[in-house]
Amino acid sequence: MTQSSFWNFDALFTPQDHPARELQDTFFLDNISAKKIGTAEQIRQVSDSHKKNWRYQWDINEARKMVLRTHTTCVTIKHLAENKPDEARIFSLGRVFRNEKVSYKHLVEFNQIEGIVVGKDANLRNLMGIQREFYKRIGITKIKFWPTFFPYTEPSLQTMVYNEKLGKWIELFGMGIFRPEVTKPLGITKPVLAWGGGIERIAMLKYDLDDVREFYNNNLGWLRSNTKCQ
Amino acid sequence: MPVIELSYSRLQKLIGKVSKKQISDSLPFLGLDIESEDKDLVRIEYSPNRPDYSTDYGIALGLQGLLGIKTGSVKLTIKKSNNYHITVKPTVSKIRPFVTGIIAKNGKIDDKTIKQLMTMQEDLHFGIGRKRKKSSIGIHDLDKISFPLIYTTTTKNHKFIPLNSEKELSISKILSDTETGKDYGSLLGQSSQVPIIVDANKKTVSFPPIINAAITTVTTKTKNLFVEVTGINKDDAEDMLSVVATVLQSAGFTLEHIQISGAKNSSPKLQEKKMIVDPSLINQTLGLNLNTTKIITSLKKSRLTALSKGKKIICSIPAYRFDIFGPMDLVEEVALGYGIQNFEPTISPSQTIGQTNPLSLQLKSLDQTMIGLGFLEALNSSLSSKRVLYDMTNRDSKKIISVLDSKSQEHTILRDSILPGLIENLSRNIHESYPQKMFETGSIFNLDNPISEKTNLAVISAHKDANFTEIKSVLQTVLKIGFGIQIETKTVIDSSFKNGHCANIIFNKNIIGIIGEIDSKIIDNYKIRVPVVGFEISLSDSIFKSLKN
Repeated sequence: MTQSSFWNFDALFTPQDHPARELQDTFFLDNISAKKIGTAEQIRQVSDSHKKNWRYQWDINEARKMVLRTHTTCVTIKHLAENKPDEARIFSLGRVFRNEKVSYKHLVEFNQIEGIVVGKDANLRNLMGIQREFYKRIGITKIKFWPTFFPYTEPSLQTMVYNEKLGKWIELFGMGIFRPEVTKPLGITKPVLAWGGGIERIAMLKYDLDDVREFYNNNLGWLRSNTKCQ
Repeated sequence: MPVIELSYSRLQKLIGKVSKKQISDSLPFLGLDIESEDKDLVRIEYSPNRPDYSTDYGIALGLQGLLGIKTGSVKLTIKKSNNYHITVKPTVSKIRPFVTGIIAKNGKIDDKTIKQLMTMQEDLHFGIGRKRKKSSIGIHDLDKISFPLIYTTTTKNHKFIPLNSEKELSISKILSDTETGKDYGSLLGQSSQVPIIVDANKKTVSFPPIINAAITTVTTKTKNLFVEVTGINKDDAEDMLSVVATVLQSAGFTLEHIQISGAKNSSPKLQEKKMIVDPSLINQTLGLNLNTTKIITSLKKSRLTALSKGKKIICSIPAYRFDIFGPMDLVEEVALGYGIQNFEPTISPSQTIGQTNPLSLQLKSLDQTMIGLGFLEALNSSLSSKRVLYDMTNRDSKKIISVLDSKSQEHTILRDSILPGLIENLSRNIHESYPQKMFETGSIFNLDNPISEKTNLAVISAHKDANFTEIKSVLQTVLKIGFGIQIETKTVIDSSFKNGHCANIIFNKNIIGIIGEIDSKIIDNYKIRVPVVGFEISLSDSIFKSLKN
């Protein structure tokens, strides 16, 4: 869950002077830096990509700063960089952190699911197909896709799902294809489809909750009352 | 992500023959999120890579393309002229070396336009300007200025009337007393000199990146504009200028050239760049089978002109589309122009076999075993507080791992133990019935070059007869039936536990955890009225490692 800025941001083509990297959204660990962040080749290639495309002075000390991961994508990209599979389907479920005020819809720490598909024929329609199948298996059939933006994917999409109870469309997962500025420096040669998002939201729909904090209150009254076999 | 407020009626005037519903339905397909709507007004969120969407003029350009009303690249028409010069003095080179700019004439400026230009400026400053550090804009009433201008430096004693002020202030005063001075003064470094733009009559036009002069304030009476962009990198300054120029042209202004020279500066080019894309890259990535004509049509709907050349496609990319880094960005533009709603999802057969990570399976089985023993699973945050982790439990807080500037007081320190969180959970359940038995498996963190993350299991039991024997029995049972292993306990003193009722848990001659009755002081601190027993053991490096996978 703790990660160097290198894998959480730099390897994902997020420039060091990008506003999203600041204290406002990200938890930086107090005075903790990683000595080893990657191989010399990885560092060279990623910093070259930044210099060429973002036009600024890349600073290795900035990349060393330890953060609480803001997404599980850093784990994914590190795995791909270390293994370089030609074909793979990998998923992860893990906690991520955002430096925000806690509210009925925002948590400081929540869970993300992330899936990736690596393959020479992997394409955008497959990515959409996987989403549709995934949602179908958790009981959501009314979905649509809209374009969006992430620094590390191109093209990028988001899914909107129709919630019968609320009577409206809500945003669920984000997805895209890792852009060449991310994959090339790390020696990843096959297209990579990536998708995922927070699962607390889906859990709220399933358990009929209005306040996401309920999951972490550990209120025995609520824990004991939820039916377990449905 | 930045948000702007648009008016449907204004958009309709800008776009052409189009209904409110067509606009509303199309906005998401430009990548814009509708936050809220209220009659004629709609608030939308746009992505930081498209600063041209910071005004309705820019959005109108995008919608015209998508709706097929006006397609192809937006061509900037800039009148060549010798009327406007800026000379740059070498003294700015060490502080803020580059300036660029453009003249915009005969446009209509109403209150809405001014508001939008201000929003656009601020969004550009924050985004690509990187909080004005890389580049910043000044928009001025052209008719209040006499060209030629000089971009030079001056001392901190220099005085002029800045924007929103009625009297003259010195540079020092501006830096110390005004909001922008306080926010951005540090960008000027330690030099005693500051950058300044002055006109032919020696009147101050602007003090970049801090503030404009009051005399050049743009009002609804303004007819002609002078736009200047200063910065530390010439390309970044021109990128910012290209967005402003495109938006102003779209708003009906006529653009005219400014000649810029001196100290390695030059006039802005704002030219289109050409990029080649291979149709096979497009079709392979998108999973489509588009012919060249269809690809070109799609690019044109994304406001990019394209021609076929042999088997490839050459695309003309206007200056304001600096979000386009390479051919893959054009692939996305094709997808947007083709229409995301027109993609039919497919499933490709998988040649891989799926399975759960063995460690996850082990943890799940462990959870099930604890549930079988009558314990409810709790879920606590990895981020806790000094109060919960140390103060309330008498624990030592020497080697804490904390986060900087947390917005939440309860989430400031990464936990090095799970038990304190479970005890805190008990304190929130004092009105629920007893016995209360809970467990949690999760990550704990320690400083270890830089940080080690391990998995622990923590268990507590609270009821009027809770005792050491009971919780030891739970520990032994879960390890025996879960992993087939046996542990030993050895009495130890620990500040969180009752003296004489606390022991280390030993496995393979290593201490892997602690068990005992929670100290009465802690119970009282939390106002819990029954005894509490518990244990916490490390699973990584010990129990999990000893098993054959």
